[in-house]
Amino acid sequence: MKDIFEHLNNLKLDDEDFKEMEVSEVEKARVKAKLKQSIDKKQSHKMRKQSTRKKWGYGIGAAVLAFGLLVASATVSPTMAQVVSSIPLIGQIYKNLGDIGLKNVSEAGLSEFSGESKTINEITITLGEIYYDDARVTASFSVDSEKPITSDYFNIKHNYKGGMPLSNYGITTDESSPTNWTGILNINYSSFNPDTLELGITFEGKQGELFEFKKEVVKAEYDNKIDIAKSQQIENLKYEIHDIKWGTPGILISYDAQYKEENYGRGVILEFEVVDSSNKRLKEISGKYGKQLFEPLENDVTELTITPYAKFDIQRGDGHIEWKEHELEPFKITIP
Amino acid sequence: MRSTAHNFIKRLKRQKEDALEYAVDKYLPLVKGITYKVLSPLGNPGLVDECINDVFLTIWHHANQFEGDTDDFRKWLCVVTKFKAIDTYRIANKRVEVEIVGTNDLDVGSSPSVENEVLVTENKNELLKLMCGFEVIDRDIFIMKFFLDMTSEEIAKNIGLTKAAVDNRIYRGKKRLKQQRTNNNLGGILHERYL
Repeated sequence: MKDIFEHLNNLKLDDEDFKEMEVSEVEKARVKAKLKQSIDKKQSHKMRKQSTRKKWGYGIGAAVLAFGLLVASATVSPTMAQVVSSIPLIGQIYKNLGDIGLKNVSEAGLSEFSGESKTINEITITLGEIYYDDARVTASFSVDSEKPITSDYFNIKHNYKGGMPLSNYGITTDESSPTNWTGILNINYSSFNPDTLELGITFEGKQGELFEFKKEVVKAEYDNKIDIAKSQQIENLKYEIHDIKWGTPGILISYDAQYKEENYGRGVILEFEVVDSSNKRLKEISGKYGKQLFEPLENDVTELTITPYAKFDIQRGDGHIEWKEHELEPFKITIP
Repeated sequence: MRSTAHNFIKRLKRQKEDALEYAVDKYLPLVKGITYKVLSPLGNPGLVDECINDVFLTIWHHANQFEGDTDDFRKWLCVVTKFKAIDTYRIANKRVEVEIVGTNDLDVGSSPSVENEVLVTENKNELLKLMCGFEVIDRDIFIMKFFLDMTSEEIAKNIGLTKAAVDNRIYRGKKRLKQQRTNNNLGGILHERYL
């Protein structure tokens, strides 16, 4: 079936409806830089795939040996056979391939599990763990194929009841075996944030295979939350940090930030530096406008020092671009 | 080799980044104009920036689905941009959907709000599947109406039919979709919203 972009080829709409706007060279450069960043991000996934392939080469060898021993034991031990049959390889992807937040979520049993499999043209795709919270949605999957294929074979998309909410998304894969590999789809919705998500994922193969999955997943809540309601205005930048949540998946800071002049306005993405009471700077796991997620807290942390930064450019009607950079007021929160 | 007006489409299809840069240089004013017109009422300039980025990433990822020459590319880009901007607007506006449930909803001629009907961003793929059997002209009308948020007058002007003829085709198309939905037992495929 043709997709919408092929259908749009047929439409030759009246040019009068489409007016150009003035664009400066700096604005063009900014758009190109953003695009490059998005494309490079995808390519870096490929690089990561290659490096994990090397690292996992040894791991797989050991796993195969261990698995062989297990199967051998199973032939003589019914108890061991039961253990073998229950090995949830598809349920291990978060632990093997995910960031620290996903590892924690998986170990704590907070992710939901699908297990749905589809086979077309001797390719089987199985949906594994799915996790959804205020910061992001992630879904693990495995691909088993008679012929060697890479992730480039598929056009992978997500949807909500057929439409794709505005988002950034990408995949992380471990393709150590070309016939049996795993991946995690990471989605950061821009503003879409339902309590229950009917997540659709499609894998469109180059030979026209279409693997469609659907899984309803309930938004997970963080264990702890502190309302901050900290606001500050510096020149024309106004921001408010709403709250900080933390728990198994990490620590999540929620905010709004707007730059507004009389005839100009834009949303601003803030970057936070979070340092814990042992002077450890927490690593970012994911970010988008209004949310930034950091690695989970250690058990003995009693206090966090948080410094927000705003780095953005503004462009007025005459095309003039001005770079703005502010280190905003740091603040501390006590972890009970 | 660098991209030029003569080779940038081929290079874009081969995923050459300089072709995307060429497209930004040449078409950003147009993409910005279309995006701004649709999204400016929301008063969120960040959304315009996000949508522009999304449009260029879309043509990067879907370049192979484009067919035609440079003139056709401009037209395709305009339609893709409008489609993305409408989609962004609908999501940002968190519009409420209403499923067609009764035959009265199909009565194009008598519904006072029919010109304001829009398809919510959900279920596009299902709708496209159902439209596979449509004549090309009817499919184009449906895409203009439900995906590009165009009025019947605008559609009529673009395809050289009268408004009554467009309304009539929409009426018949919707009736057919409803019938197909009943036959296929695919409840909840076509959603409409009344403003």
